[in-house]
Amino acid sequence: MPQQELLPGTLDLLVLKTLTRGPLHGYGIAQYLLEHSGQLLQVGEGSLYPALQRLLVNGWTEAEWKLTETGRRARVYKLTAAGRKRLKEEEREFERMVGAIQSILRTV
Amino acid sequence: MNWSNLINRLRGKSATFDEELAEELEFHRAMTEVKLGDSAAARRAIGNSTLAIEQARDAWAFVWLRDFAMDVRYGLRALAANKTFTLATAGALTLGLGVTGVVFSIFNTLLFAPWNIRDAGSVVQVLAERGAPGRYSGFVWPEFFYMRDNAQSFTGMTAFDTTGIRVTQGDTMWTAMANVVVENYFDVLGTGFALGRGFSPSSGDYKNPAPEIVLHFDTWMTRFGGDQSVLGRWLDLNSHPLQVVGVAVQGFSGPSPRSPALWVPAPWRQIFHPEAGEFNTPNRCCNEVFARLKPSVDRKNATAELATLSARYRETINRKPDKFLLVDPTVMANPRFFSQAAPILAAVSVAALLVLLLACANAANLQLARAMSRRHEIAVRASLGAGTGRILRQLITESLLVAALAGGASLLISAWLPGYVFGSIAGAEAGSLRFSLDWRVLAGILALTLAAALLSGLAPAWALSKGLHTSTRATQSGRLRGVLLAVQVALCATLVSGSSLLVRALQEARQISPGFAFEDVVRLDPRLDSSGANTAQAQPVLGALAERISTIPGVKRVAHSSVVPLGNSFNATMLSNRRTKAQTRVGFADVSATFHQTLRIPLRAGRYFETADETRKDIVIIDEALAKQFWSDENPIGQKVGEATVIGVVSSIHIRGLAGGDVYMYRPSRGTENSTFFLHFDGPAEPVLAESVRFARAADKRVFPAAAPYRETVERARGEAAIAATISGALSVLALTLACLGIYGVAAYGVSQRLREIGVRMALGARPLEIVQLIVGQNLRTVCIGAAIGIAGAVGLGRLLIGFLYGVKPTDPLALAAALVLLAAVATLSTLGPARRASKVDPVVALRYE
Repeated sequence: MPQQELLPGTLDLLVLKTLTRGPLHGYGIAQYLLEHSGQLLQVGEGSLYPALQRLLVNGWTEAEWKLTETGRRARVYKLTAAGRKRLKEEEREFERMVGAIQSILRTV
Repeated sequence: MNWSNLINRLRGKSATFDEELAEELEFHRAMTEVKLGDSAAARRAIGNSTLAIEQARDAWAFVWLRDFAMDVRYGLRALAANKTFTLATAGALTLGLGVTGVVFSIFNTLLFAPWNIRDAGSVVQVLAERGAPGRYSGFVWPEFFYMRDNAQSFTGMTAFDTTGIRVTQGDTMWTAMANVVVENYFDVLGTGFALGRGFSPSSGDYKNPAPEIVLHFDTWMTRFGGDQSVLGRWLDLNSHPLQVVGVAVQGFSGPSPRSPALWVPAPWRQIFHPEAGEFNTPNRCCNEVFARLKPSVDRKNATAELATLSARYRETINRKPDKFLLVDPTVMANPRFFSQAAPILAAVSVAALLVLLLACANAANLQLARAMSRRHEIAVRASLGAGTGRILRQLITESLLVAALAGGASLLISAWLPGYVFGSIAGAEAGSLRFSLDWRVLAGILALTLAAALLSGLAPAWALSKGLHTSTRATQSGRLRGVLLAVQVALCATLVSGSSLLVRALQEARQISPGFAFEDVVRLDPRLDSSGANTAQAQPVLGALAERISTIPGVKRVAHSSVVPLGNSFNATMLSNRRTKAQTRVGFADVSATFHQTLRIPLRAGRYFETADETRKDIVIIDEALAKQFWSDENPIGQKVGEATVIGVVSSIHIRGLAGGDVYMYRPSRGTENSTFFLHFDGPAEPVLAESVRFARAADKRVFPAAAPYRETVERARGEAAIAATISGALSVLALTLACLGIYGVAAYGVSQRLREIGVRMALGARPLEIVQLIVGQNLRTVCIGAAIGIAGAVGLGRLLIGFLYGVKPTDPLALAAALVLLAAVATLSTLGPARRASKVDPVVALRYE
């Protein structure tokens, strides 16, 4: 399956959005994105884990080590209040961007 | 943001960070594996986990710091692993940075650092424009006193001048450079006393000054052994008793480049040197004036006040008012000194920068060669996931480390070498200048070190990191090496031809004949004036002494003169030119009848003096230059110069300096108390020197005569050319060493790269000589191109040197050819070693190699 490249800057948005459904570990986030994009967005950990660290550094997520149902330790990420605010901003920004792109596609 | 986490990481707890990330990724991998049911496929799907960790780490702000610490650690290990390379690179850079550091330190002291005087920040040197625009000097004494008594802008205003005096201390006599100063000198500028006090107000009394001396600290140590009882002691200065009232604190020399041995109140100058006439007159230029500004007054207002006062004062003596300039109290503050020194400073700094550039090119080439040999290591790092930027940073860090080593070494060099270098150039002329590592020098060396690190590290790092992704890396870096070698050779050629020109100039200056014979002449200074004798008392002593010393075996002829040609003495009078009516300065000497024959100055017309002439006041001998100026083509014999009649014309000689340009006349004389003897002799000089001093001492027990070969006096006058040639010679030896290293390095590297090829050639029957030719020829083209550029550069820069070239043209073919030959020889020699090694290659070993 051809891997679709993400628009730059959208990974953070997608991860934040995914986390609104509840706390998840990195692998879970990747799986969620893959499944809900119709197998189109395969996020490599080369970009996923740096993104997770970025969100952590900025205080948009919190992380906690937990035991999973398979009995392994995994780092689970949870959205913070600041993260929700950030998500709102990024969503607005994204729509503005898409709107701008669409208006160009329609007019030219 | 999780601060405690971040701080923990910065403290070096990032091990936890890495472990956690690794565990997280391992979990991810395990889950993928479970899903795909195949561990190899899982690993493929996951990709480069190291890269993921590294990039995840980059999300943190502290990452660059950590990377830097890691680069430094890694770099240090890499440098320690290859000590030869490290030493060679650091050595090359140390030479370059050391030279520039020393030059910078000297410049700093000359141009920026204030004199060691009290609170130099509020002190200004006051200069008056005199004669031509831009020619600044101090004040005439009466104007200074007027200013001091009336100016409101300053809390204190003082002045000094310099004079030579004889100090007699028991039965020893020494000559001293003294500063004659206004009595408030130490109040305005002094930094304190080791002993005693400064001058009393009564020492400023022009008619009857208090007999007070303040000793320089060094004089106290060397002449009086630091004896406390020196206070109150009476010394004999030019036969006048004066009392020591103080010793200046250690390190204080005042704003004077030459350390004075002692200070005396200004009015004493006239008492010490009555023959020189009145000092406190508006006709006598000039002293050096320093003043301390009131905090509320700026320089502009002070200058305006001085101009107003000058106008008022100069009205009383019917002259135009002076223009004034207030400058920082530094060595080169006077624009006149600066414009004199500017060509030297410019030439020296260009040369030093060339050496630094050369060193950088050298270090760059070494690093490039080394980087090429580290291709493996770097390729491994790259395939393990290091980005180009990461590798570039690593390489730059390494060149920074090497440059830091070199910078440290050059700091040490700049701490002690400038004083030594400057001392050996300027000698006692600059005894009071101190060269210290102040913040300006430190900042300068730091900036130069950084520049050197970037200059020498960027090109190789760039070439290498670029080479990671292309297949043309070998040829590209080869081309870069060629360019660097050409740059090195060009810079070296510029320096070598520059100094070759100066050596030629030195030869030329040696060939400038002073116009008289000096090789077989001894100079005897009886110093009759030191007993306080006047001319009338000196003449019989001189006469008797002349007879005695002409009996010394080997002495052929004896003469005396009141002026020693090229010996820093000069007397002149203003005479009106009969032809043009212009006032002309004419130098004169009172000489014995034998003077011209003793120094073998050829007669052009008329006759020499005879012994009977020595009492006559109505005749003179003039030199050709004066004859030409006054009478052009007419016959000067029998004409009048002043009151005297010309009886002879002799060829012109150099009296004041080798530059020439003076006109001269000789008056017959039985000698003065200042007369110096010249002994034309045959055979060894030592007995003549010893005997003549013994006779002179016997003639007057109170004097301390000295004798020396006259050659020494003439050599000293030629010293200026020698200094320039020595400095540039030393720099070009450095440059040659660096270029030599560079050429050797490139050749050696070339051989190691072509070992296989050489092996094949030998296996196919090439003879050792052909291999040597191959290797030597390899770099010859590059060297030739570099040399051509360099010599063109030298011709261009030669303009800077014109003042030192004594008529040698910057395009002098002999000098440039000599430089080329030298360079070619050095280049060939440097390639010979590697070439010899190449010719000894065993084909079997070479082909098995790698």
